[in-house]
Order: sequence, then C-alpha cells, then structure tokens
Amino acid sequence: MPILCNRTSSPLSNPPVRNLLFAAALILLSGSFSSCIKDKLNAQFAYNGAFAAPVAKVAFTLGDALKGDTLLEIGADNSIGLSVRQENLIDISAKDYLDDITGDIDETVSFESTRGIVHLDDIEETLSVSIDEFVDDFQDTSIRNLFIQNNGSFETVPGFQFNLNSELTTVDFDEFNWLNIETAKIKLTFLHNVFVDANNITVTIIDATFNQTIGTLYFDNVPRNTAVTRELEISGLTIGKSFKVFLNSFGSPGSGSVPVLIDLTRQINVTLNVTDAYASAGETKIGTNSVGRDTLLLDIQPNNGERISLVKVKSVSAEADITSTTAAPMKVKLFFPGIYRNNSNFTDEFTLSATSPGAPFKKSFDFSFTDWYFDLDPVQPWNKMKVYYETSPEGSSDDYIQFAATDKIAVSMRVHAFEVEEVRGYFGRQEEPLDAGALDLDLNFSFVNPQSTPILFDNPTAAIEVNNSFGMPFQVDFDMLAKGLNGAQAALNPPVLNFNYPDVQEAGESKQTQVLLNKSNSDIVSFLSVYPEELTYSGSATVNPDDNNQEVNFIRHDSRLTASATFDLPFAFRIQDLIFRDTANGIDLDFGDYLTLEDIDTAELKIAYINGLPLGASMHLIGLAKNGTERAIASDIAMPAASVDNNGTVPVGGEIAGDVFIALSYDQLLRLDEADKLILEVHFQSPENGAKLARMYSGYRMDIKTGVKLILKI
Amino acid sequence: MLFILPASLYAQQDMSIFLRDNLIQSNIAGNPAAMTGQKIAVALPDLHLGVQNGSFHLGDMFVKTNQGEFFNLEKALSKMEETGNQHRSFFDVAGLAIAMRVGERMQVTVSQSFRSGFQIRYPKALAGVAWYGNAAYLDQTLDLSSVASVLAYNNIGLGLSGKLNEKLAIGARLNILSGMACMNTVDGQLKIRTSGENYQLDVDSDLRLQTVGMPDFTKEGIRDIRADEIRSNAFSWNNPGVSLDLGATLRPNESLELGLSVSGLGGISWNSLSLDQSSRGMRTFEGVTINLFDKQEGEFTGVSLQDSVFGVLGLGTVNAAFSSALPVRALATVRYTAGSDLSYGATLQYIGWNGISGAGCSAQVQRRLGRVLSLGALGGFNTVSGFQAGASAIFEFGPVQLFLISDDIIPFFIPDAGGGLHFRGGINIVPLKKRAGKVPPEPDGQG
Repeated sequence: MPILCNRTSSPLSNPPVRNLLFAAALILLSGSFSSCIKDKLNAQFAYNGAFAAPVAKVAFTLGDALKGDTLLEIGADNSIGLSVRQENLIDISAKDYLDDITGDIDETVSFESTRGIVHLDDIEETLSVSIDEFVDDFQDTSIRNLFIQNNGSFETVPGFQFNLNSELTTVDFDEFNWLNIETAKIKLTFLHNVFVDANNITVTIIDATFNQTIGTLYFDNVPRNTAVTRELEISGLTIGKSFKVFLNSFGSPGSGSVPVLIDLTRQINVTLNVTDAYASAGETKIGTNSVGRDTLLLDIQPNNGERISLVKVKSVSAEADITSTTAAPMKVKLFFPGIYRNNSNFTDEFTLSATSPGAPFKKSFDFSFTDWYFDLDPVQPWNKMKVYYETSPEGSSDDYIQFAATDKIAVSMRVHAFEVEEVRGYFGRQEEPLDAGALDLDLNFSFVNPQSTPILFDNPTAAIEVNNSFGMPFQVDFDMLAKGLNGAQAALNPPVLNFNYPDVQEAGESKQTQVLLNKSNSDIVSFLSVYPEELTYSGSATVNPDDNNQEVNFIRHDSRLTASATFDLPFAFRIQDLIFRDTANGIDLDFGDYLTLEDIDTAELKIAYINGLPLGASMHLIGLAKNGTERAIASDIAMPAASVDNNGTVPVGGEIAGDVFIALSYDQLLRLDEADKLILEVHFQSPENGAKLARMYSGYRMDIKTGVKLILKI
Repeated sequence: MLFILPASLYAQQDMSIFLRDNLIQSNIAGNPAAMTGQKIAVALPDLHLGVQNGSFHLGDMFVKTNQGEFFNLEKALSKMEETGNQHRSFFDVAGLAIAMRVGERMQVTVSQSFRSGFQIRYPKALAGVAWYGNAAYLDQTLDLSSVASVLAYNNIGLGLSGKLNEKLAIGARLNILSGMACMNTVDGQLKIRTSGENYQLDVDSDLRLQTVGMPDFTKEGIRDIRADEIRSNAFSWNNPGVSLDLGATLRPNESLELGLSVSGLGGISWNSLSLDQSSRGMRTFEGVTINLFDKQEGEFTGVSLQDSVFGVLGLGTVNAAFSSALPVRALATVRYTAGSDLSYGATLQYIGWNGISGAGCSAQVQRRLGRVLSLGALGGFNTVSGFQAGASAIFEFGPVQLFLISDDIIPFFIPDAGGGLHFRGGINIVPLKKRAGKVPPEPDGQG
C-alpha cells in the first residue's frame, strides 16, 4: 500500500494533517494547471488564411456594346461607325420667299372719271315739201294763179319774191329730249327740183320745245337740183327735241323767156343737220358709246426689287370702293389684259348706281386661280400690268338718261394678300442669313476627361444632300462649329456649296445636289477631334449669286430647299490619351457575416484579361468622398493594346492576354470602403503610343475576369 | 468555421464517474443501476465538458513565440491524416438532480440537464482550407467530404434503480427530451477547386444536412447559429424525444462489483424549424457576370464573397421534419474495493453516434483521505484521442460535496501531450446520511 494509506505510522494518519497536505497538494496542482492552461487560454489568435474567390467577369464584343444603339452602325465588314443624320439642316420653304416677294405687295390703283362735255352724234333730218303745199301762201296772185292754172303746162315764169311765213316742217330729234348745248353746228341744206331756180330764201329754225329761235339762214341763190347749205353755230343754249323750220321768204329769177313745165308737185328738200354738238347736260338716248374709258397701270413694287413677270395667283384680296355721281345706273367694265383665267383674259363688269356721299359701292374681285402677267410691256417687261376700264350707260339704247358734264365715277381698287401658286421673274441677287441651328449628335462625352488629347478620326465624311425645287440658283455658304470638351471648339470650314435647281420647264420638280465633305475639302478631322457634343451651324444663302438677270427664277407655293447632313464616322482613329472618367456608386465591401474590413490584412485583386481591342488602357481607381476629396485607391493598372496591322485592324491572334495583380492594403481597402463614389479613370491609347491607327470592328472582344484574394489578419 | 467552434458541442465520454458512487452523478451520468449511499441527495447545477481530438494533440494548435502563445494550426495540420480525422466534444450543464432512497432496495432519481455534443470526421484538406484559405490550394481539387453531427437538447430524466438481491442491482432511466439544436450529415461529399486564373470556384457536392438551430446557409443574415431558436426550443416541446438508459451491477462479493450500462437508447423528433439543406451536383462560380450594356441591370455595387461561396454550393433548403438518434454509450465497469478507503476500477466504453464510433478503456484508483477528501487517478486509452490520464478530487464538508473530476487532464498541464480533455465539477447536497446497518457497505469505507 502506498504510504498515504498508512493511518498510524505517518503524520498523514492524522486526518487534519492529511487533509491539510492534500489541500496543499491540490492548490499546487491547481496552480500548475492554471499556469499551463492559462497560456493556452490567453493564446492570441493569429490567423492569416488567404481566401480567393472570383468577383466578376465581363465579356463583350463591341457589337454587344452597340446593341440597341441607334447611333452607331455596324457595316457589312463589321466595322463600326457613327452615322448621324441631321434632317433639315437647311430648310427654306416657299413661304419664306413668297412672303418676301408677294407678301408685301399691297397696291392700290385709283382712278376717277368725270363725264365732262359730251360730244353728241351728228343728227340729220331731211324734209320734203312740194310747191303746191305752200303756193297758196304766195302773195302775188298772178304768180300764184300762173302756177295753179298752168300746172302741168309750159309757161314762161317771171321772176318773183314773196315773203312767206310758211312752216315747212317740224323736226323731232329722237336722240335726246333736251340738251344743254355747249357748242353745236346746225346746218340746213336746200335742194329742189322746182322748174325755176330759187333765190333770196330765208329760213328760220325755232326750238318748238322752248319756243325760241335757234337761228335764221339765208340762201341767196339756190339753183334747181343744186344743194346749197347754210349753217349756224349755237352755244350756251338749251334746246328741246323739236325744231320747227319756217320759210320766211322765197324768190326766183324766173325762167325768162323760156317756157318751163309748171309742175307743182316738184319737191323742195330741206335737210337739217346738227353737227359738232357738245352738251354739258341733257337727256339723251344711251346709245352705244361708252361714257368713260381709261387705261390704268398696276405697278407692283416688291420689297427687294424683284422683277416679277408672272404670278400664278391662288387667291388675292382685291376690293374696290366705287363712287358715282351719275344719276343713272352705269355699267362699268374692267378689262385686265395681263390676267388670264383658263387662257382667257380676265374681265369684270358690274352696274354702278349713283352712290351717296361717303357710302361707296364696294366691289370684290375674284382673282382666284388666275395668272397675272407683268411682262406685257415691252419697255419694262416686269412688275407692270395695264388695266382698262370703261363706263357706259346701263340699259337699252332707246332709253333716255340724264347726264351732266360733272358726272363723276371714282374707283379705288386695292390688291393685297397674295396667295400665289407660282411666281416667276428675276428675283435679283439676294443674300439671306440661314436659320442658325444646332445639331445634336446625341453623343455624351462627359465621361471623357477634358485633358484628353484630341481624337483624330481617319476618314470621316459628312454627306450633304440637298433637294431643291426652287427655280433659281442657290449658293450656300455655311459653317459648322463643334463644341467639345473643356470648351474646345473647331470649325468645319466646308466649301461654298452651289445647289442644282429646276428650270422653268421643270417647275414642280426637285433637283438633288450631293456634296461630300471630307478631310480634303474641309477641316472635318480637326472638327471632330474635340469630342463634339454639340454642333452649331450658321451661314447664308445667296440667290442668283451671279446676278444674271436673264435667269428666269420661279418659286412655287410648294417649292422647298432642304439640306440634310449625314456624318459618317468610321471608328478608325489615333488617340494618344483618351481619358475616360466615370463615377459610380461606392462599392459595399461585403466580406460576409464573419469578416470585417479590419480582418483583412491584404486584398489582392487579380484581373485576367484578353484584350482584343486595339486600345491600350491604363486604369486608376479613385475614391471620392462626400466632401469631394479624391483619394487614389489603385493606380496604373495597365492593359496593353492588341496588335494591329497597318490598317489599324487587329488580325486573328492579335489579342493580348495577361494578368494584372492589384494589391490593396488595408488603407486602400479602407478608402475603397469609405468612398462615397468611385471614380474609374482609364487612359486609352491607340497602338504605338497613339501613333498607329486603331480601327474598330464589332467582333473585337474583351474578356475580363476578376477575382480577389483576401489575406486575413485576425 | 464549425471546426473551430466546438466548445459548445457534445459527445459523451465519462469513464470514471461510476467509481464515485457516493455522488449522485454516478447514477445519472454513469450506471442507472448505481445507488448512492444517501437517503437523499441533491445535485446542484454542475458543469461537464470534454474534448476528444484525433490525429493531433490539442497543444498542437498553439505556437509559442517571443510574442507569446498563438493559436496556429500548422503543427496540427502536419499531424493530420489525409482523411478520417475525428473530433468530438461535448458540453453539459446539469440542473438540479435528486436521488432518493425508497425503502431499502430502491432509489429514485430525478434529473435535468442541458446537453450538447459535436463530432466530425474530416479530411486534412478541410482543416487546411480553414487555416490557410483556399488561396493556398489554387488549381487543386480538394476533397472536403466530412461527416459532422451536432446535438443539443434538454434532458429530464426519471430513474429507478433497485436491488434484485444482495448481488444484483438493475436500473433504468426514462429521459424525456426536448430538442434544441441538431445537425445530421446525411450526405457529406464535397469537392472544391479554386482556379488560378481568376479564382473560379468549381464545386462537386453531394451534401445533405438536416438541421435545427443551425445556420441556414442559403439565407444571408442567418448563417450563424440561430441562438434564439435554440433557446426557445429548450423550453418547449416542439422537438420531443425520449430515451432510455439501462444498467445493472453485479457484486459477486463485497470487494468486486461489475457494472454494465447502456445509455442513449432513443431519439428526438425534430419538427420545429427543421431544415433539410442539400447541395448536389457540379457547379461553377466565375464571379458575377456583368453585362455592361444591359440597361436593365443596376449598377454594379460589389460582390459578397460569402454569398459567392455559399452561392456556388447551390444549397437548397426545405422545411422538413426528421428524427435523430442520440449518441449511444455502452459502458462496462469493474470495481475492486481494497479496504475502506481504497478502490480500483476499470472501464471499457463504446460510443457510437451517426455512424462514427469510438471505444476506450481505463484503469482507475481512488483513495479516500480522511473524512473530507477523496482523490482518484485514471489511466486510459481511447480510439479518438489516444492515451489519457485523469484525476479527481472530492471534498465533503458535512452535507456538502464538492467534486472535481477529469478523465483526461494531461492537456491541462502538458498541452502538447494530449488529444483529449475532460472535466466535471459541481456541488451536491446530502442532507441525510445513510441509515446505519441498512445499506450496503460503502466502497469508500464510510460505512
């Protein structure tokens, strides 16, 4: 048995001592235990496991990048290009010009017609009277008897002279009822076949209406069968329509000794003529003569001196204010020799009644769909047009109308508001500013840092396509200004453009002009090198730049000049340092439920890439704090460009593969985690330090796989 | 990470408690046929924990440097087998227990305890990945196939032991169980490869885990132990279970006692918040595929590494009830009493749980030193952690018993020399002493 069991021979047999010893042993044992285990319990946990996991992978072709992009195009050879078309780069409508040419035409043609002294037609009345009708009035009975008794026999007739007061006849003028004669000639012609000659004949003409003597005529010798005329002038006399002719005296030298056949049926013809009559008033038959007639001149004055030869009018406002003091209704006829409708001259007739003062007769003219020729004057075959007008009495020619020399008709006709189908002429050399505008390329280069070097495209072009249906030469001198990054600007400097145009025979057709701007005829390369986000354009258009007035210009209502520009931008360029800079949300560094950032000693980001793009890249990751402070997280992460041939194309097998390791310390991770935003700055460069061309094809592929290795420090 | 969090887990090993039949724990934790010498004994809450670690010593997990002691698995890893490494641990907190004599030949015990255990059989690669990280094994296919079990439950036991005659006593305890947490590995095949290109993860798995209270690996935010769920289960009958402990002792003579017991015959039905998590097939995770030109996609804001790892596992989870067996322990004991203060013992123990079994044997001695103190020592061997040595001390101050027992104490003193660790400690109250002349003679000679 061990000594511990000996109760009697050892002090241990004494229970208190024994218990004390065991308690001491237990304490020592416990102390030993606690010292050994303490080290373990106090052991530090130094953990440095390294865990690796993939993070993300990106694989795309440039074709993928273009999906849904309406701006970039993939050509048949899979080349990538930008095609931006701007419709209506220039848009000139007929309205612009027609407004200039005809829009301001507002011409008023006035004329006034006063009747004035009316020249009356000649009036002639012939009366016949036989001797037996007045032989009874012979005062000498011997002669009277001689004639009466020997009527029908031959006798010698002695001379005689009688004073008579025989009314030969009454003449009624059918043409008028009364007249205020300014001047008139009254002629009386005696012609007889009496068996002896006559002499000493006195005739008196009396206005039976107003019972006034018009005049007395004396015929000293009137041989038989010989007409003898005497006349008198009257003036300032109002005459009626009935004249009575009295034979006051009648004589004859006789037949002498020669017997003559006395025949009392022999006639004396008296003819009364009123000639060269002018009346200042009266009441006459209308007759067929116009009362007034004149030629007017419509002389249009376009603002810019255009010479208009023809205007095809769709509509125009043409109104006339007409006043008339003529008591009787008048017929007014307007004749427009220069205006045609359906190949017929345009005329207009209307009846004009007397108007009250201040209340003119309103007349509108319907000139719709008429052709107005302003070139009928050989002296000035433009801008002029004659208008004839004529007024005549209204009604039947048997009607009597009163008139006065002071009768007046006034016409004021205004033409304006032309709506034209076509205008022809020569519109002169005119330079008009083009509407300035902006061409939105829909490109946003905000991700490109302004410090980037210019991007030099290899062969950009801009096709300008013009459709012109104006019948006149156009020359356009325009320029475009590209506004790009950091306020950089560059001008396109295209050549002056001349546009085709239809000639008169081709009116209604549109002529095309195509102009291709390239680096030979413009500064398009430098123009696009500024990363343009906005293109503004302005310039001027010159009509008839050669000022050849033999040109026949025309503008139809639907004439239009439109110019569209299509920018074709093959993505083949040289770039030394295209700085892409984009800001994204900060990344939440999620290490799971068991790790915190403090547990990370080092993080190593691995980027395994296959770069099929002819662009090298150098990337920088920058953390952006809320206060705008930037702190670099990782810099100079380089990925070289794929190799290219002389054409800038990446050949098969030209892709380049490699790995990039980015060690991120705790501080860098902290910056990454604390960053409110992350800025990714990538510097792109075409091959050979930007000296070589990089041509983009949709099949270019980029594969990037990233993984992270976390070395823990717990 | 489960590997380094075993302290709260369970697998029974208890080879010396049977020898302390003056403690109520000899019945509750040892042989249900064992009867204490007291008329009534009350066990206050006690603590019972242990670790059995194969392949390496616990001290191999530490490195001493000029800067101090550091946890470091490099040495342990160097000792690990490529496959079949085992680890077991348990942690029990016993509540009140009462043992009461009924008549001369019977004893009734009522006990409550929270029990937890963990075991795993794992390949070296699993520990290697855990320690070095997968980055140390780029372009290598790692077979991480493992079998792990976790169990935690509340145990309320009602035991009855009695003497059939002067030589033979038998006992049984019916345990009413309330499951708190569980993990069964139904299938544990897992291979993983990390590519050197961009650390692409390739996984070939045939995993199926039945879990309660364990992390739901498919759901972010609940990948930790679900402590709230475990606590709520402890005091409910959501996951009921029952088990039976059986035992017998035979005393051919007054000095020799043979004991045989089997415990853990039963299981728990897991109905509440039970998950069936599985991962089958081959999967690859190359990282988040970013489609730079898909406007429907939101902005890339990062990748959760944890999500990546669990994502590549492709775990699918369904709610499904299941049942699990308890660790079964068979214990055969021999005790020889040499006088009133000295006894010797030997044990042979077998533990089997979810397809992993282990055995152990031990030889023990216990010496009573006076009325207050008893000391004991144990030497043994188990198939998991190898040789073990233990020591115990029991103090009796009147009706108060203070016991400190360890079946595997070496690492406490020589950390580099032991693969296992065991400790039981607590206080019992024995208000009434045994009735003189009517109880069998006590092995410690107190009678």
